[in-house]
Amino acid sequence: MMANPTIRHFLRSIFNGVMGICLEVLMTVLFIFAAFAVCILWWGIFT
Amino acid sequence: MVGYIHVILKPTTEDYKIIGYYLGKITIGLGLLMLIPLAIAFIYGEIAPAIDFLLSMGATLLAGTLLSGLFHTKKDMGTSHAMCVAALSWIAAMFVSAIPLYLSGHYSCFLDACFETMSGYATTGLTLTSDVDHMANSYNFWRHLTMFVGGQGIVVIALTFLFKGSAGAFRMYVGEARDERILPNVIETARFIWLVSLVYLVLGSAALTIAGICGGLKPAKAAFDAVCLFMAAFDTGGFTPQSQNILFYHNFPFELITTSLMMLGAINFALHYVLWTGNRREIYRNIEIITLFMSILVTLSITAWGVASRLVYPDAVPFFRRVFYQLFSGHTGTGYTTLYARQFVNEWGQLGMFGLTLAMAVGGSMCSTTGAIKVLRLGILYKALRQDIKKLLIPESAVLVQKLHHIKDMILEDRHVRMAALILLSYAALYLFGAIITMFYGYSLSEAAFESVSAAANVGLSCGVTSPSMPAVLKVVYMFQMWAGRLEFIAILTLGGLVIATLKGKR
Repeated sequence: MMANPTIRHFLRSIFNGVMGICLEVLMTVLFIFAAFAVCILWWGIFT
Repeated sequence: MVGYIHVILKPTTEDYKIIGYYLGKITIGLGLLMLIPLAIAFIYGEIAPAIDFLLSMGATLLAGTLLSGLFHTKKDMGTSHAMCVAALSWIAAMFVSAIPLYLSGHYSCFLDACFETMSGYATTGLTLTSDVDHMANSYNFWRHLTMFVGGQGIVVIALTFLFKGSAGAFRMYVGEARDERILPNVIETARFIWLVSLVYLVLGSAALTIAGICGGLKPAKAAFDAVCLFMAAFDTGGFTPQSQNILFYHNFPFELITTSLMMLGAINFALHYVLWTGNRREIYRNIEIITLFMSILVTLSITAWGVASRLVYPDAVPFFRRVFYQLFSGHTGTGYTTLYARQFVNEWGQLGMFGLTLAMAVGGSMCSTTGAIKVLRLGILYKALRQDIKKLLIPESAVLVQKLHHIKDMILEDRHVRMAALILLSYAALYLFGAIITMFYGYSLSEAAFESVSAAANVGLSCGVTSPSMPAVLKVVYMFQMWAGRLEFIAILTLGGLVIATLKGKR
């Protein structure tokens, strides 16, 4: 059954929003991993 | 980007009426905002704070009604009026919001309460509260609410609830250092900013509540702290309901969640919009994100080098948790900390403090809740430098076009570079001004620079200079820095022009 275009548009908006949030959180996680690598590097050099 | 603004050279009665009328409307909005802590006071059965909020709300509504009634006009704002209203509304917000805090008895004088509210609205996080651990929940909530409101922008709130769409509304929005219109209509832009914030309010508060309960807090306390911490983290503020800041919780999940919230708050709302509407490639093409990433890694390297060389932390994980958290908090302009203030001076050393000061001076994205120079401007200046170097290497007759990608592809123009350089220089001057005054009171260069940059870049990390006993002049200087740093000078310069024009006219 074809969904109503309004409902389809609404569902697509929700999907895009959720994906956007996931992407933003994923970016933060990548930032943290990159930072962890930098910190380990400096800590390793001095100990 | 902001165009040229004409300062009112010969102000007329109509000019004052327009400014007074719209300022009055915003003041009424601020009065109505006190309904929220009033409700909190009733929920927690806090009678004395409820009376304080009722009195403050009455005084604020009366002042707002008088202003808008006395200066009633139907004319829309010009650019310079809007700038003056934006600048003055922050001063008005500081004064009226300080009334309940002063009445709470947690501040030794009204100046301290004003410092607290300016720090809140500017999303700085420097605090002069005495005995915050025993503060009533409604006062504490009010402190955090000022951060949420200031991070969103006082004008954004006014646009959402009080004004109909008009050219003047957009000019006022620009005056609050938000020169990107995400959607064609400025009111819709303001509402989108609210949508993002409210979605993350629900998600962030829920995550912090769960982390708090797992960490041993009672559910009610965990939920209250979670909402307060969310407001201060997402709006890159830095207040906490405890005097020991995030250190109080000793909770690694708390640190991870607040790190995510700080990051989300430091992202441009325009980027949130494109990501939330399906343009996912923007995340690795956007010049702001790339510059932010590079800037964090560079400043983190400097700080980590400085701290690691002093061998303060015996293991890698505590080293990472301490250094990264403070650095990230400083770079995003939040000011959350898991250290005591004097540890920066006693344990981190000159290089560690320098790296952190540099990170604080840079800040987050444009059109976000952060302050400071902002990474987009650094990205623009870097592109301009690269273009100039390339020009030296190619034949003189060749035409070189420098592109940059921020939401859409753009060609780098001289006006972009000039604007970025001007704002960078203005911030440098503001940082220097605060540092000189702080040094005058006997602090070392590194301490003075740290505290001055923290205030002007709306960060809120402190190395121990900010305290209720510090000289009143320093308090006023930091308040000015927070105000000027948050509004990014243009609105304040326009207001300064109006004041000078008014004084000249009276001679």
